[in-house]
Amino acid sequence: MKKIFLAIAIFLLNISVALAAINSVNDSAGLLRESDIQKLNAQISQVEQKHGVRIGINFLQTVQGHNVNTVNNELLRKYYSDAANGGINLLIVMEDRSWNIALDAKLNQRILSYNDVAYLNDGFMDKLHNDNFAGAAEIYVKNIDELLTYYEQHGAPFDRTEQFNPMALGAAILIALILGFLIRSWLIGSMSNVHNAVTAGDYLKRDTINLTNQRDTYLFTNVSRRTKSKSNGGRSSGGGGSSGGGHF
Amino acid sequence: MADTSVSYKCPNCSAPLSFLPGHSKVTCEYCGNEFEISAIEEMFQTKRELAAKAEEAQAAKWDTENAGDEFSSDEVATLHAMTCSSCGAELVCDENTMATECVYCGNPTMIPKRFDGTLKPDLIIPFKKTKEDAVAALKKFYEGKYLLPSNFTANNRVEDIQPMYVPFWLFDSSVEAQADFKAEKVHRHETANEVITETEIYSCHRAGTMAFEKIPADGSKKMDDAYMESIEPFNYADLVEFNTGYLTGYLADKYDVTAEENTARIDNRVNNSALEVLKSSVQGYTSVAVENSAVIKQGGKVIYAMVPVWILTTRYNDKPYTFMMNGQTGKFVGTVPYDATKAFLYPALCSGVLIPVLYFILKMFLV
Repeated sequence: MKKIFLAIAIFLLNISVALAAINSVNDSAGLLRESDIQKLNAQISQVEQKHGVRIGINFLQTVQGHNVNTVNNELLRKYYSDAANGGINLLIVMEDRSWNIALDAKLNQRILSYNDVAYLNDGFMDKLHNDNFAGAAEIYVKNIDELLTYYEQHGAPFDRTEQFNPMALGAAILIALILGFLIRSWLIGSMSNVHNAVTAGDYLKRDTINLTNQRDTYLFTNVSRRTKSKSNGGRSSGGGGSSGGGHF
Repeated sequence: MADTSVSYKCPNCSAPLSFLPGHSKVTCEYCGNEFEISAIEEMFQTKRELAAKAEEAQAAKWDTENAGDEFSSDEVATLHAMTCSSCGAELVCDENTMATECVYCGNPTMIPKRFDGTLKPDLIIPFKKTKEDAVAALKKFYEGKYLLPSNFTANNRVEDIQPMYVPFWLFDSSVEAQADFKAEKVHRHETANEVITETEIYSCHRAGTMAFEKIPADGSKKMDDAYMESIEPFNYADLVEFNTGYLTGYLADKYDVTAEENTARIDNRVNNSALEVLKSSVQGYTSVAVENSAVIKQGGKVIYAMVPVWILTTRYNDKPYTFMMNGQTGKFVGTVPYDATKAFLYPALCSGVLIPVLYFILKMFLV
């Protein structure tokens, strides 16, 4: 275990050397224009001051075989956990086109899940798919701002399970109608117990059953393969914080 | 005019005799005397022979050619008149009636001609269930029927309760059956990237012999086949040799559907059961389906028997509803109407309660 952390620490040291300074936005993968970086830094600075948090966005070409989750948590702990209300970091790794968001324990009290940051407003994943990294980062910052504003206004974090979900409502109505129809059929069916007999099992003399021939012949095998859908998110939590992400 | 029917009256007090359900003897409910079934049979043997001859003589006088336009020949063929040997009233019944009761004096009346020779049943299952049992069973049948109209039990009156011996054919059958089944074994396993489903297909052949004993089929056109099949099964341990004494106090019809006319129904049931037996022997597979089959009947004997049935008729909104109870086992069958409003409201209420519950469950998964 020590070796792993040592390796990650050396790796992070390399990153920090590569990056002149640990800013909010660090693009060592060369994905953003300078103007985009400046614009994002300004946007992040405004949100950080407004809510007393630290927000990071890091683009890396590779994590050199390390676990993305672990690397991101280390980045968060080292560079983005010094604010009063906690910190958050978005890590995008281009070698396997993965993304990961890590929140520390303090911010996790205000934002329940990395999922909320990624999916509060549509477009985050679409923009990543389309290599519009500046756009994805903008949505990421905007979502953090909205989630923290919600917390400050309501005194409790935004909880997606408490929000109205039209898809769930539609599915619930459909299933309830089908169940209602089945209940109706059962109730009407219970009004009669008159049915034609289709078998004579009651009159079969069990001791007369004599199987004279039984033969099982293997014919062939059909094989069907279904590709697993790639997980859009894996998550972990520890020390009160949480992190998770997926591929784009 | 000679009597064409025989009234089974108590030799002691001349009151009507009855075979009470659950008893082994024929009872006089007035003086309390009990008579062995065989004694009754012997006692009324001569009277029955006389009555049978009298009916033959009377039947010869039916001259449908000169009957004018009042009855068609078909109608005349189905109407039979006889005299009640107790009060002398003229009774009219259909061509199948074996036992009835006089509508004027209530005397149990037999028509011996209807169970002479080959028409005589081989066996009979005596009544075990009483009229009270039938009424109680009807009330119990209404329980748990959530869609029953609210005023059904209040406004519904039992119009008629009749105990009747129904003619049945009991078929013994030995069969040789064989079938081919398509069976599948499904295995699923996962690799890092794929879910792989392997379906092994087998052809399974099964052949065997088996025997069925006393499969019942009613021999009466009056009785609905579905009702008669619904009151099955009967406990054949109670089958006894037919004796007219058992019919005293009950209605009884002779068969008007022959055993041959019932063979298709019986063959169908036997085929299905034989295939079920063979299919149940195909084990260890995920699914089994019949591909082709052949069931060859080896033949078997047929028994003519009388089985006890309580028939209850009720009326609701001018529409009659018939229920039947197995007079031996008490199995009760029938159909009751349902309230269309309740049939809409109850499921709607269930759906209404389910929607929020399902919504909160689904919301957890569809975030």
